[in-house]
Amino acid sequence: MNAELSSVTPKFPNVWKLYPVLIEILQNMEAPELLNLSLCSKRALKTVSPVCAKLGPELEVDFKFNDTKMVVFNHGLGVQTSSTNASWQHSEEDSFLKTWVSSQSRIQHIIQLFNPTNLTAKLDLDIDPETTERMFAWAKQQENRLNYLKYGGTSEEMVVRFLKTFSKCEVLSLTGNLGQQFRVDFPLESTFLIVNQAHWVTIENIWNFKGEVFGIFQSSLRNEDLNVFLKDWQSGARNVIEGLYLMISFEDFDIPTIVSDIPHVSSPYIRRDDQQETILYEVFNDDETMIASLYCQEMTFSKLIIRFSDSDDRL
Amino acid sequence: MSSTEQGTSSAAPAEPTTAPESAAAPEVPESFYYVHGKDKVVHKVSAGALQHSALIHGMISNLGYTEEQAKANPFPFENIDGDILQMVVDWCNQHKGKPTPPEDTNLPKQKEKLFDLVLAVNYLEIKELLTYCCKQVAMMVKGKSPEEIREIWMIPTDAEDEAAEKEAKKRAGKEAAGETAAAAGDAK
Repeated sequence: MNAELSSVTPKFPNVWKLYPVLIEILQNMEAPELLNLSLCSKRALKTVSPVCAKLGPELEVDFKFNDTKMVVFNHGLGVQTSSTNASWQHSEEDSFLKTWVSSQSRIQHIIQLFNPTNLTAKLDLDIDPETTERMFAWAKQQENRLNYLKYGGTSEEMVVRFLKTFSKCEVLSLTGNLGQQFRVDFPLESTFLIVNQAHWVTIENIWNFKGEVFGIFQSSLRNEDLNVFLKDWQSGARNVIEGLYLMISFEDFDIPTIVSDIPHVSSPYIRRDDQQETILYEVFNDDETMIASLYCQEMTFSKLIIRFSDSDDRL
Repeated sequence: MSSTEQGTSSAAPAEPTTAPESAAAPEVPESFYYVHGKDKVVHKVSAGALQHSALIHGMISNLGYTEEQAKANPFPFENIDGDILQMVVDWCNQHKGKPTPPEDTNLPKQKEKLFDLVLAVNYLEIKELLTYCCKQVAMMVKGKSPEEIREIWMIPTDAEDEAAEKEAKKRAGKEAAGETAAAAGDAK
């Protein structure tokens, strides 16, 4: 604390007057407690701010504006540390809108306090129209800071609007039980797009994908679809972005079927992520240039990885 | 450093709380020093245990006291309560010549005692114990709301801070006025 000020406040314990001690105490605190301490008074905020600012670059701040009608603030210091969170809502009877509106200053406070390099938000755009509009406006306002935006609802209209509005966000994630007829007919442009329950993602969406990484999980694609896709790519009939990294999961995927009738070689491969041995399939062009590599990854669930790269950038 | 009259005459030195040295201990007899706090109760502590305190270690390293001289000149720590100094001495004795464990669960749970211990340990420069104490202070507010933190750590509200600041400025103004008047009086 400011030594001059603390010396004039008898209520304040003497222990806070020792700056090195104070800093050591604060450094032993986790983000939610630092946040709560910063809310105690202006002086507490001033004291905590330098410690929080140091923590910020390492911190992944995650807001959930979710269907439990709560605003949840999570933080995680990497995968080794379990996340802890602070959450708030006014009362059971309060609408989410009321909680949301009254939370704005606190959300802003958290962002200013930690100034995190990784800011994630999960939006629930299905609560009510007014809250949805406000969430869109908030996320748009934070666009330059937000590098991970998630939507987990069931509104097809919102999915389309979400994809179009936040195409510049580094990572977009969609998880929603959408109708069987739902399709997207415009280019998907996010750098890193993750779609769960991706029955709606078509081969055409992959051709038109403008980003770098496309995760298509619980897809309705079939081995035969991907075989045709690879043949078109291999023959040069159509192109995807150079260096595209595709992650796909669907029932009974089978890489030998996917690469059938396409020049390829298969060899044992140690995956970098889990150091387990798998088979790597390398697909070749007619001039014997490698154009893509495929393997199976089984970290959380089995998925196919297709990496479109040339011979100079082998795995 | 001189001792107080009361410290040297009326209070009997407390025996060190460590177990007797084992047969494998060095043959050179260990030197002891004496300390007392606000309550004047003198504690006999070995030089080995006192090594934890950078402050005392610095004081005794060049003294070359004999046993009698050390007994006659206990180090007075008038700013440390007797029970707090006892805790510090016990901790130094318990951890004499041993690597410090990653956690210490024997720290006081009562916040006033813990705060006093922090102040004493910081003054005596006992780095490891200070680290434990700071962790314990941080743990006091784990999972607590702003209001609970305010209560546990006795943090003043903005209004209290402002009132205290106003009061301090008023006092400083009065003092300055007093000094000016005194200076004017001197000049006459």
